[in-house]
Amino acid sequence: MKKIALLVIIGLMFGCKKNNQPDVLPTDLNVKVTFDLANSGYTFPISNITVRIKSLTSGRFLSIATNDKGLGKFNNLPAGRYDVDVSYTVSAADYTSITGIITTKPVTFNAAEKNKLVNKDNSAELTLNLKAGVIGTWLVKQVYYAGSDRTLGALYRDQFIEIYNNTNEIMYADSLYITEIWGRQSSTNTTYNLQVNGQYDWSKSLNMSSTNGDPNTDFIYAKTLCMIPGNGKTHPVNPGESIVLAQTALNHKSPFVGTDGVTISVRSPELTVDLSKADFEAYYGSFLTKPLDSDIDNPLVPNVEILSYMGTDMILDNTGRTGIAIFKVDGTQIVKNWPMYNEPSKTTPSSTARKYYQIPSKYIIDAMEIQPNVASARLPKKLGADLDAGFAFVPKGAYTSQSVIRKTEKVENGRVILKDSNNSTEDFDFLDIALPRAFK
Amino acid sequence: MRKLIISLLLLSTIFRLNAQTKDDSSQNQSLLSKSYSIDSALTQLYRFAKNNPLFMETMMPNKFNNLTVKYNLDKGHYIPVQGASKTQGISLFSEGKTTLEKFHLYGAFTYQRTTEDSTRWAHQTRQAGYVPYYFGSQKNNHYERSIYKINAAVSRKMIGNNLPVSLGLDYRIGNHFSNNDPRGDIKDFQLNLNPAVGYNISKTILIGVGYQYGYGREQTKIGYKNSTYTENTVAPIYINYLMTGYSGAQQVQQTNLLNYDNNQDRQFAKIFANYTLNSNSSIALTLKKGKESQLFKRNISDAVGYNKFMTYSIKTSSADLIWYKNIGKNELNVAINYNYDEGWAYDNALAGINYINDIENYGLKLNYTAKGKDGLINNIIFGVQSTYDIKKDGNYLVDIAYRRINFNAGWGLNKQLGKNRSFGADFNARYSLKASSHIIAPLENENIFYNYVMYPDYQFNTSNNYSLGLSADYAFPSYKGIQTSVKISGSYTQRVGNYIDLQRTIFNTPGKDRFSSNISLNLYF
Repeated sequence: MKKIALLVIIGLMFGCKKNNQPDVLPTDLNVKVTFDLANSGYTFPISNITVRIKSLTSGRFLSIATNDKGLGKFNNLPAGRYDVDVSYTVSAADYTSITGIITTKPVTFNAAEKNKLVNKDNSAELTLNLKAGVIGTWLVKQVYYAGSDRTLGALYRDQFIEIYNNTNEIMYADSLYITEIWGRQSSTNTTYNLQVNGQYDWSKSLNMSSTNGDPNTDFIYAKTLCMIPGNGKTHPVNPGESIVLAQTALNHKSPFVGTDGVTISVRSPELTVDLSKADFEAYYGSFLTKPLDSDIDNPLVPNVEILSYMGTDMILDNTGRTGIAIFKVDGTQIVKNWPMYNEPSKTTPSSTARKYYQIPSKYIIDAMEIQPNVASARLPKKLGADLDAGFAFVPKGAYTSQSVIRKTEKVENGRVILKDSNNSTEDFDFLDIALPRAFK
Repeated sequence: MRKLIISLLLLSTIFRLNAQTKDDSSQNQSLLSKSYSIDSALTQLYRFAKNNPLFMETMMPNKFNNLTVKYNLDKGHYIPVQGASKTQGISLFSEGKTTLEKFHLYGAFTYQRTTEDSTRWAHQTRQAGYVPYYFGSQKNNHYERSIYKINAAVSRKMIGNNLPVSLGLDYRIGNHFSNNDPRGDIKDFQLNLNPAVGYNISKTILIGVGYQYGYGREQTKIGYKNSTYTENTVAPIYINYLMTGYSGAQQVQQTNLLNYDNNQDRQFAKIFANYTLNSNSSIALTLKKGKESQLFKRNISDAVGYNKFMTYSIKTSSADLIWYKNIGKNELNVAINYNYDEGWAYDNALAGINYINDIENYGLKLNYTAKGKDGLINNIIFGVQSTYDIKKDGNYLVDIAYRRINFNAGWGLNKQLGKNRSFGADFNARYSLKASSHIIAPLENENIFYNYVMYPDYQFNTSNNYSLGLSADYAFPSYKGIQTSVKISGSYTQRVGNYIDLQRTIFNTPGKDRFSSNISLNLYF
């Protein structure tokens, strides 16, 4: 019997139940807001600035106002990845009063940290440095990058970019440069030198020069680059009007004959757009021996000058790994002679490897970044907070006919003034079916 | 093809094993094997010895061999969310036990082919319980699964029968795929080795120690035939989610990220004891303690540089005690079991242990077999089993627990007819009740996983139900006296009462009943 008792005791030793607890618990996120006003001699109040976060897992938004030390604290957040945004607008009167710089328009400061990992080992205070961006005169108003249904629609043939005159004066689109920005396109490719934020470290590109500025923060890089032609007064754009740059300036709702002689048609015209009234088109047939079959030159629509291209037509990345920037330069600059660099690969690129134009940020009038609709597919931001603190996306993704469109801020004397806070997350909405010259 | 060849080789091995039993008394042996299968008390011992080969000699009949072909059909919506509303399967199972000089040998081969309708929210092998890292979607998938298993064991006594040693080997390969989007493709294998050694410290007491080492891998891939589903989110039911812990659900649709491996290894220590009370009665005890580790990984890094995502560890402590008593021609078997699994998952992205899953099981089972003079055998079964399941997701402050108690009772009879024929029938009933439960899931953290999986599963796990089962078995001699039986079984389970009203938005609320049936052809050698 003693032996049986011994066995029972051993058995009890085996089964000692515990009250186990996870050591991951909701955590706090402390955000400190500052202004990027180095050597300016003035400052802005840092209290009552709204900090907004969005959970990339649940999509839930939370916001909080900073205290008098510029601190905002979010309590008990589930660990995970968050987009953190701060956008602060100073009225024209206050701005003038504080800085002595006379301005008639409010000035918006932005800062953001996208895809921020919040967990117990990463609980250091997050400092967001608010920067005032350039308020665009020209604005990127609508980007239809998603394309329409593969079988029922026009695939990516119907893509377009719309640029808007957001001023109260006539402006000329002549020599306006439009570029699709470039950067890291794959989240799993490890063959490139990267910055801490995961984006390309362009400073490690072959033969990169830093004499004119930081290659990562003072420049952007162009996947494609084109220019509106004209003599300076050829293409006036009235206040509150826009120009549309089409990949192919045709009515995509109707059949047309491609360069290969085959008729191209859509089964559901309501899914696509009529671009026959576009102001410009990107025609590659003049310099490519084998352009895209659908790249038809509409003689009624002027072509933009192509300085740099990728592929067989101006095909925007329809998954959303892109962005658009517009700029003008003064007469001292010859853009086509600007330096071009390889991607910063870890190994020395071949002599034939593609190079990308390096565009100084100081010339950029407006820039907006686009990201994929699914949070887990997003990439490190290509644009800094001075150009675009956020990003836009169409909620349904590729081939859905949706476009991103800048929000209407107000209407003055019948002229629509679009929102421009240099934060595309705040400034852009979407259209379910893209429509040139539409407003939202 | 390779699997087929392997299967045929294994089958031929088993048949060679079986062939050794083909002597002049093969018909008697067939009858003996058949009678063993209907003796519930002895069957319990047999199963115990399969898990603990050190007891093969004393608990397994020397020449028990059978081959079974079975078809099963399960249907009904009274299931956990990640279950299948309809399952059909066919299986081939063969096993044999024999002796070769001083060696006791056991071998078994199993092939299962299963088709599942309406499997959702889980691309998994169904081999283990809930794992805290997997893909899933709203879309009902049609799954097909093929599983091959080999079990082999050998034991013998050494040094004057005082030192029994045994070695067990289990190998399994599985192939699982769904043929509609988002289509899962899962391959798995498992290998377990179980050496053990015992010592007779007296004429009545045997003690022993054992060690189990095992490893395996599950490789999961998700693919889409219609690429539109990876390009956009127009059709929400096709969106692929990555579930982590017991609350996290994140959309993942990039094709190069729709895969991961789950590498597993496990080590357990075992202690055995057998106490022979007298010539008609003995007690056997096994204690097992050890740990399994599952590493979820991918060979390429994602956007944030991870390629090791989670390590899920399960510490197991178990005890099984079985008391067997022979009362004249009758047998009594009492089994007590206890099992406690402590599971915890270290999430690399969260830099800590986020998921806890503790499961405690214990129960008592009684089998009494009464053998009458007129060839009538009665089996009486009674059992009670308690299960306590705790799931915690620290990041979302989720804390869910429930305790269930199952009572079951059964009565079966087998009547020996003339010309070596027999007829048997069983009736069993089970009642399962929720003893306690709680759920803490802050509403502000709610996401799609809560509405589609967490809430309905809580409703299912906290519902009471009853089950009634019937089976009938007719056996007759066939080729060379082999006992052949045809067995038909069916059971019906129905929920009792209403589901808990959680005052939350719930999709996929479970149904009210489920029907299970099978028919099998069994050959006894």
